[in-house]
Amino acid sequence: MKPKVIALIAIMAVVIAVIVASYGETSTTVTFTEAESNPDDDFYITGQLMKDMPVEYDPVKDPNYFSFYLKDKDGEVRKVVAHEPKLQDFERATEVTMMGTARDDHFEAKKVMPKCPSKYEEELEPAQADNR
Amino acid sequence: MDTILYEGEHLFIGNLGHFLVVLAFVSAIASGILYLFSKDNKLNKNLARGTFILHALSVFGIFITLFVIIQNHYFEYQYAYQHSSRELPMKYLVSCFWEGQEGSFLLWMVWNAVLGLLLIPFSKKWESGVMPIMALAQLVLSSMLLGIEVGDLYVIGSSPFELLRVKMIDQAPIFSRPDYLNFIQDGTGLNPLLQNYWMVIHPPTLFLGFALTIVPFAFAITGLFRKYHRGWIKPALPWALVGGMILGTGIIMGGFWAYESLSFGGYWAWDPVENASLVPWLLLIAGIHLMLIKKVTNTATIAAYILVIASFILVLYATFLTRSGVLGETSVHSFTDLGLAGQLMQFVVIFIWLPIIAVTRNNKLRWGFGIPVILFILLLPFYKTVAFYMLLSLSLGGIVWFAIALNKELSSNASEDNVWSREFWMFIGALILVLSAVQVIVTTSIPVFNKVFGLNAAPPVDPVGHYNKYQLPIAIVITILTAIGQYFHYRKTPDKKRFKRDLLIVIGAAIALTAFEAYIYPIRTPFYILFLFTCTYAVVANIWYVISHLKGRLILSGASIAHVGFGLMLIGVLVSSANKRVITQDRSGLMSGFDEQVRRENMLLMKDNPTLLGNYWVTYQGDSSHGPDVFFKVNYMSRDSQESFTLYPNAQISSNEGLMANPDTRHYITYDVYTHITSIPKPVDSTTWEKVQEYVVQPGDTIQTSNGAVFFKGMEQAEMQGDKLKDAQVFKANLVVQSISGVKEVSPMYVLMPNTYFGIREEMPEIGLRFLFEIRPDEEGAKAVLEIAEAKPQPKYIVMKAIIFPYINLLWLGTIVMVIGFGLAAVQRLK
Repeated sequence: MKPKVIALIAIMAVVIAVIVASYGETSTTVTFTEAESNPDDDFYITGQLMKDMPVEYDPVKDPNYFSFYLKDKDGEVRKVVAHEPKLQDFERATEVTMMGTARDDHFEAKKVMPKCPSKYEEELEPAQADNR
Repeated sequence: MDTILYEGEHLFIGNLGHFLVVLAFVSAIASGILYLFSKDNKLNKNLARGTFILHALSVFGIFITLFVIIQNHYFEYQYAYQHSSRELPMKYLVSCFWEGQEGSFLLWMVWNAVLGLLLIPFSKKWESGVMPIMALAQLVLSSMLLGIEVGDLYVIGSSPFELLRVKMIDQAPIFSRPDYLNFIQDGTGLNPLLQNYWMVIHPPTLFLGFALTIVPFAFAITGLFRKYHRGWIKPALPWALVGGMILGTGIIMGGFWAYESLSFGGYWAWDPVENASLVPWLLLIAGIHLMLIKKVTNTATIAAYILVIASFILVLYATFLTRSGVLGETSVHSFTDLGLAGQLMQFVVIFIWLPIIAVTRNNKLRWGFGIPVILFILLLPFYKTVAFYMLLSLSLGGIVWFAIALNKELSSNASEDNVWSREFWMFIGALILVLSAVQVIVTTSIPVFNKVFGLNAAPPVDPVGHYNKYQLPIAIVITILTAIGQYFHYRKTPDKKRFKRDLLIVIGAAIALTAFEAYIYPIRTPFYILFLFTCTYAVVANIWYVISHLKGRLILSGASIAHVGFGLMLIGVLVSSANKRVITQDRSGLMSGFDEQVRRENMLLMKDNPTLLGNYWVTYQGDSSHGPDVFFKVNYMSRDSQESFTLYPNAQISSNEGLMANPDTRHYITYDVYTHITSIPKPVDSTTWEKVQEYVVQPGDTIQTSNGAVFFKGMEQAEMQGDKLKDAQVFKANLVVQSISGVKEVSPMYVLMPNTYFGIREEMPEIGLRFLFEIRPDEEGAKAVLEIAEAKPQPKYIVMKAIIFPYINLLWLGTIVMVIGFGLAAVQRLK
């Protein structure tokens, strides 16, 4: 066989191996219950921000402690702690996607991605009010 | 329905814009068709050229029209309303173009039109093959701007000349008032992140890079149609090299912009949008190497075709990924879905089928393929799911057919490979680049696979770690190949003796240099030392090649210089990321105990309170506002007091996007000190102040408040600047405030003018006091009244993150060297 063909086949094999391995590293979007049954792994969780429960961030006490409550798609509510400053206007978020690990009494988020209502919708409200 | 006569609108310019879009669309069709019949027909050729020039002019016209709308703040147009505002400085008005999707498609069209105008005189006998493809791309792109409704079901494209009221009338009744424009005084503004010098030049550069990939693609397709399997390389190569240069520059500019003005703390985050621009570049670079092999040795025909085609298809796929909304939350770059997902998909499918049709030599078969594909493309908007899966399976089948047919057509000129030849190792190198590209695009495409196969996979939880794990070994192999490749010769085995001697010199030098580098940087991890060695090896080997083999003739050294730059770049990446050090490591957190696992990378700095960070005493000294931006003055003083500098990271609190922080960086030759604000106190507003009380005061009075004692020294006349205050009498009350934060003086002013009078509030949020001074008439003449408002003291502080990036200048230097190399190579291939 030609060396080029051998190289081609070898690299194709590596490509397939890499794709399979990459997929082994993907995570899934889960619920709190699922995350708690595997406390060693990282997961993505998407849920609703509990507006009537406290969003806590007091940088004078600890600039790397930020907590809030989230309701997942099964309706389970958990306290979430992130070791980073609170994003400004986080309270306005409706939906939050986060990545992290379940702990005994809270969910430890390594990454928090809030989804805010788009600026377009915001702009509309005063306009509508004006007309009434 | 009643017609409402709206007041104050500038409708002419929008109608002109619409007309130009339609003209661009129609002239692209006409030019493409005329070009198809222009090969032996002088008249058709001239007509085709004329219509393309007309097309190009209308594209430029669209651009100018939209610019006029933005520049004159015609907020009746949705695009101006959504993407600009009155306060925006002139230099950023052009950035408004690429905040919206329509504008970025327009930018792409403008570059394509420029490329088309260059191809007309320079592509010679290839013109009639290349130009229809340019016209087809322009046709598809201009359709994205049409905004024409087909029945009630489907809108083709999204017009940047759409009126705000047309879009919004169902949602907000205000738009049925004839005078609605009076209520729309200003636009919603440009994302502050785009208000940056780099954001003015980065998108046009990147889009020129994207646009340039179509040129080698068009030559390749023409080569396929005409069976000039070798001839297309020569004219296409300089374009491909310029494309590699511009696209590479654009990508790194994006990295530099991210580093200088984004707050994610680095130049590369493996974000889907970054990946989407990297992958076409990797494929283009692989394609360039294969084109060189084909040009010199007449082998690797199929691979050269596939990669040149793939790099353009991946540009289209990347556009689809980033602009269709499919990425959702996985990207920090947010793009709204304009409902163009279907059209973008059609775009990709059309260009996937061009090469397949080209290798199908049987006309009946061409129609057999073409008709169902066109049918499903047209049906896509109406029967989304069915048409999509049909197109997907047809296209996958088509790609397999393409490979089989091309292989059959070209199998005759296969020759035995020489493992000791340059082309063999270049071929391997190109394959490794493809491996790198495949790994990146597969992980980036997870959201797409989820949609297509109904899966629920999420991207890797640690993207940087994930990509680095695969890309680092790949980079090691690539740098080694980059180093030795040039010492082989095309077609023949190199002179073993000289080859060995060169290899020994270079490896020896590289080992010595690596040891030195590992010591000074410092790099200690064995795997990183290996990578450092292969990069250094690539740099040394290519420099030595220029000296010993090319005798320093620069014009021939393009490839070697590009390789040197590539090696330097990777050294910069390695050293700056391996030794990157967050110096704001907070050890004082009370809330969560002490857990080594938790990263605590933000520090609170109280105003005027020096904190030791790394080797610096860092002090937050105050802030100042410039328009909507607040600049925080952060002083760094080295521990030995030898040097001191001040950084001004800024933060903009926008009601839409929250805290927008721009870092500030102190650049040294060997390292950078990077600082950005991650949190600031809630701004003081009227709701902050709780207890408000008035006091009639005499000089010498002391008022006790819960936040401290206020001593009224007396009042005196003062001066204030300003035309309006010419006739004003100004008094100021001199107050001394004694609180836990020490003794401070403050002087609220009272202004008396012929027609009016007012006091100016003085706020001291860090103490929790606000003062208003007034002089009021009473029985005896006048009395001095002091209004004191109290609040919970709000200490002035910032929360910030500071990172030291060592040797990041190697990354920028390497990029510049690489770009020069590409440029030299392009010049050489033009000759």
